[in-house]
Amino acid sequence: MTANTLVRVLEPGFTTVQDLGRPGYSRLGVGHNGAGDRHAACVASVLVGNDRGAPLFESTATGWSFTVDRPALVAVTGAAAGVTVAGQPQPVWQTLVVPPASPVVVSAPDRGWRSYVAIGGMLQAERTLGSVAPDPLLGVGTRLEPGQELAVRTAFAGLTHPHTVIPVFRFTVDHPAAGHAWEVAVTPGPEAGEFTSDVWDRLGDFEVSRDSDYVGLRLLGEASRRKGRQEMISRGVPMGAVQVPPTGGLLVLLRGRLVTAGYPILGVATTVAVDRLAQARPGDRVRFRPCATADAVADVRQQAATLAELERRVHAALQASGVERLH
Amino acid sequence: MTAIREYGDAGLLVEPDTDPEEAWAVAQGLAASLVDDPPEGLVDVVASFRHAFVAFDPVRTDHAAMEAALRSRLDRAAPTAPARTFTVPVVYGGDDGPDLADVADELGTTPDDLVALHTSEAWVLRFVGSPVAALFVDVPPIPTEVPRMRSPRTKIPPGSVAVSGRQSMIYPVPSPGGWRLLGRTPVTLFDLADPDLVSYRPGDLVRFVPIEPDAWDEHAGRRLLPDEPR
Repeated sequence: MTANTLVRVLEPGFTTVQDLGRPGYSRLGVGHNGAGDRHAACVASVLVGNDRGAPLFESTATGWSFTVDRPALVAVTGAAAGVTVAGQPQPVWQTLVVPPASPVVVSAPDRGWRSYVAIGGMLQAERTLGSVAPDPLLGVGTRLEPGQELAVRTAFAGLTHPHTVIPVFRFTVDHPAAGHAWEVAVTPGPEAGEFTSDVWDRLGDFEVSRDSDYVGLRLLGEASRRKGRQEMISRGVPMGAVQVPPTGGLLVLLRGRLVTAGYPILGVATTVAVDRLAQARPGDRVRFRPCATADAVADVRQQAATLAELERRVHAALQASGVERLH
Repeated sequence: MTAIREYGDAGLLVEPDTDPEEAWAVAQGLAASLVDDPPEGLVDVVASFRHAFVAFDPVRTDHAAMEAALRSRLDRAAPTAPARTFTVPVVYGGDDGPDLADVADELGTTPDDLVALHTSEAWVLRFVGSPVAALFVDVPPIPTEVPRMRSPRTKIPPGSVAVSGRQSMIYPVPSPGGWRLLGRTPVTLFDLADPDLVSYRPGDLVRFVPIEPDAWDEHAGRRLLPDEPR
């Protein structure tokens, strides 16, 4: 039977309800948005048996804490330094069974920037154009406040495993380590040929500026110069576009980008790398590495295959534990 | 020949090698065809003044298959819906258009003559883009290309009417941006309760008309809708 599990927010940190955004609305000028580190968000959802695009929580730079009023499957991924349930340390990037009224405390990251918390079931939040993702330009989004209660529609009512009272899942999840220096693979952009010939040598070392946000990372450092100074006409830009603004440094577009832009584009960070860039915090170092498009496609396909395999294993394990479906 | 170039591991940039009017028509026709009948793996399409950017899922398709799907649609004409005219009242200059005097100066003209130029004709709406529901038009009589701000503003007031190059746009919501601000309109451009979001589409006509600052309240909050047919 499906019922509502209530998530009660204790300390909210800077946490919003997220999903995978609003693809397909560019023709209305609405940006994609959605989870900054899409892979980490998908892994969290998959670990609790949800669809990859299900609503979940994204916190930026901070930790946060909450309780649930019924047993719940919970997974914490992304940059979080750790998680405790009722004061006991538990693994991140893992499926947890959280008992009612036991505070779940997600630590702020030591390295990296964005953390994800998924709860088995369908987290309820207001949708606009099909998505719960915050979009400050549209003026929509759900940011958590202390004491706020959010409903999760779910059929999960706890596990009744015959052999153990404390059910424990142990899924192996490959996830890239966060640090303070990031190597970012980029494929050549449309204007790569218009820059001085040292273009790729000059992508060695940038610092993430404090002016960075979900729209883009501003990088401080010396970039190659464009040979001409002709104004460029605005045109569609992909996430990951490495733009060269006239004021110097670089601007790398993240998932909150505007759909068009008129700065020259040196390269485009790979799909896998855009997730890494969403984890770079102000003060971190970024180094770019030229990458062939075929290699970038191979990387994203490898990541998708790994996620699909994890999805199969989680479904099998949940079924074996008597969880037929969550919602 | 239309160039179709790799644009990251999940995108292609379509750039018709022809005159601007034809390039726009090809890009819009392609976008309309993709929306009507999406090929496997399509994620999104942005048709702008002269280009179409096609985003796809590289797990479900690849650059070669998507390029072939795009080439097979290039000769499809854009659907020809009748153009409507949208009249946009604008308070030019002052606090509402802080760049009017500078831009006029750079163009070797006066603020009054720049306003006269900007309001001289109804311009073709080329596309709807960012931020949310922004409308973009070509303004061919602008004598030389207007440079963007070297350092973009962090917050532009909603309704700001701006130029860059030989193009003009309206910022519907507060947002950062690098275009130069000539004035501001009191009308609102979109409605979140409307599934189409906006009432205008590429190919419509946009006519800017100057109003006095004290006429602001007459128009404030009114949604931009097509003029009544005569």
